[in-house]
Amino acid sequence: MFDKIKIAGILLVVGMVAGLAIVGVHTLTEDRIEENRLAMQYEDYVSIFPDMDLTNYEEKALDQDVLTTRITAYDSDGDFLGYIFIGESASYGGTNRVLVGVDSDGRIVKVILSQTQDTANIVQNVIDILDKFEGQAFGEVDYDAPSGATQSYDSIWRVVDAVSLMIEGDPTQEAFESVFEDADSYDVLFDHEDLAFVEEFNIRDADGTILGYAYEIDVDDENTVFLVVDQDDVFKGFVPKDAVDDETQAMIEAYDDHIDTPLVDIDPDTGDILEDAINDLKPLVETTTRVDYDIVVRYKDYIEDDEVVGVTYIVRTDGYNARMIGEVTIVDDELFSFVIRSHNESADWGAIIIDDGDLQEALIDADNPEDVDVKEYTTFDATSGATQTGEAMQRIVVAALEYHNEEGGQ
Amino acid sequence: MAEKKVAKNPMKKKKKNGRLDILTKGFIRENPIFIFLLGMCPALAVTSTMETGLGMGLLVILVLTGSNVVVSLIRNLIPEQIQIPAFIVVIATFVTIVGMLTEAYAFALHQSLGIFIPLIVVNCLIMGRATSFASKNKVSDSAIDGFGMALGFTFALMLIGATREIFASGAIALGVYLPLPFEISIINTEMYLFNMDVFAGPAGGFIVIGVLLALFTAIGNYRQKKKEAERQAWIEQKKKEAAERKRKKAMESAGDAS
Repeated sequence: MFDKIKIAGILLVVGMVAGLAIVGVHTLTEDRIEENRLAMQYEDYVSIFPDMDLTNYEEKALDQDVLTTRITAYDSDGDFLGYIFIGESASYGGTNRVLVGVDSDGRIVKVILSQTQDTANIVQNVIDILDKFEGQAFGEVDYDAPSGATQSYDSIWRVVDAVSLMIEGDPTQEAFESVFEDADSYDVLFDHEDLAFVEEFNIRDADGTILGYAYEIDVDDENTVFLVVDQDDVFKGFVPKDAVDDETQAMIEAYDDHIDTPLVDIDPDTGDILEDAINDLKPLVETTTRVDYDIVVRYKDYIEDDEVVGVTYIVRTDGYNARMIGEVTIVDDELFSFVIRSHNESADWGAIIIDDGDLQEALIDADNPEDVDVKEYTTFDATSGATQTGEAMQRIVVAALEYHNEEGGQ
Repeated sequence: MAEKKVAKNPMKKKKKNGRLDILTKGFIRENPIFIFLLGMCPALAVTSTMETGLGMGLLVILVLTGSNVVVSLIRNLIPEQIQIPAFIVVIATFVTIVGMLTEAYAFALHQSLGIFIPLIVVNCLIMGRATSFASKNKVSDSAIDGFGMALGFTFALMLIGATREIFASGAIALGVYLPLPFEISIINTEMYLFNMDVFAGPAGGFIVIGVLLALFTAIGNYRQKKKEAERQAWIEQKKKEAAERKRKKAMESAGDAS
């Protein structure tokens, strides 16, 4: 027992002496390290605004996920030069610290990767193309990720994008906030090709609860409007995205009387694209099961001799990277075909099993698609990204079959 | 009459000058990287230029010499069962201190070496010398051993770094990362056909280390073979001398009998 206490005591003394030594050196070097860090920071500032007065700038902490600080830069005469936004974003090797300089015209002056733990040659690939940002206006920023450095570049892009939203404001979010006071974020869902609305959104509050749904309508090249319904599909009105012209504003106001009416009860007679949007949405609302993210739409019926012999369902779910949309066709109550209509999976992982087609085939051939072991088709993937893609594909088929069986099939 | 040259016995070990031998053995004969393959991670990661290799080498000199001294000082106070954790605390303390000093006084080097400074803690060379030498020898010898081994390590990093840098850029610069009062190109070939980017990247590190390892192994093998040949020649000579003595003795015996 005494031996153990003695050993513990020795280790304690070693640790204490080590700690004291470190504290001593820290005390000696603390100020100098801070000076060095500040000098490096100033070097970055000056590389963005060469005329910046380092004795006269304002620093404001930003309470955001990506952006941490905003520096307001002035020259030696006190004239406003622009802003430097400092952001932190996750990347391959850790967190990247990115500085984005914005001039008084709202254009990007420079983007700097200030701190990174990514592999040196990957960082070099990224740094080589950061010059492309210079002089670009927000809203028109060209995004061209170099191959082999996608994650590093994406982390920089997230910071640039956050700055863009801060400078420009997010017209989509602002539009949703005008309908739902508690609107805090939104998800982009489904791209429609042959309907009056082109894109669909979930609107969420700060807790992530869905407040309602929005459908983006391109009235013309200049004017965009959202059709907004709440979670019970009650019409909450048309709201403009950004400013719209008087004609569009008049079209929107014509529907004000229908606000708070269930969408399916609205029978418009305006003859414009907003009427088309309502008419296109009504059948979807009636035949759609909304389960938060996952959604099944009965898309097309195949009729022979007045009998429905087949149905195509459009199902959307979350893949590894983003939303994935699949088309499942069921004929005579049996799975007939399954294709992925759109996805945003990584070319090196998830997209491989989609293009490969083996998993689709296995899901179609299986008596019960739920029993298919997705991992058998994603063995090349050590990081589980492709496994998540495979599971999303399986979810699409299973959701379509469940919906079909619940709705009584054809 | 010319004096007959007497062959030295190659099997007889040379008398070594103790401390000088401890100091110099790590340079070539027991070089941590080229002979023992220790500390390969920094050898690959921070040798894209000679100067970063030199910088890492200097930090290792400080850590290894310091930790060897402290380990040797406390070796009789630490019970055997807690030697490893205690030594790790000592090494980690030195690495932390060196890291802070680098960040304060050689900021560019600190930025360049990045994560590889704290990773010195897990460099097998340092723990290896602490357990195999410093924990069994007196302070002065441990200090010399740490310094010598770290010098050998630095020499290896600089050799790898210089080779990579010259092939990648055609030049070798000094003063970019270390806090020196000048910044010069100590070699500048101005031959841009040397600009092979692959040598600046990890692949270049593997290639250069592979070639240098092969070179050191070839030199070692050559010296070994030469030593073996000398040994064989010495044995043959001794056999001949013995046979000659035997023949002379036989002739003398025959003369006495007649």
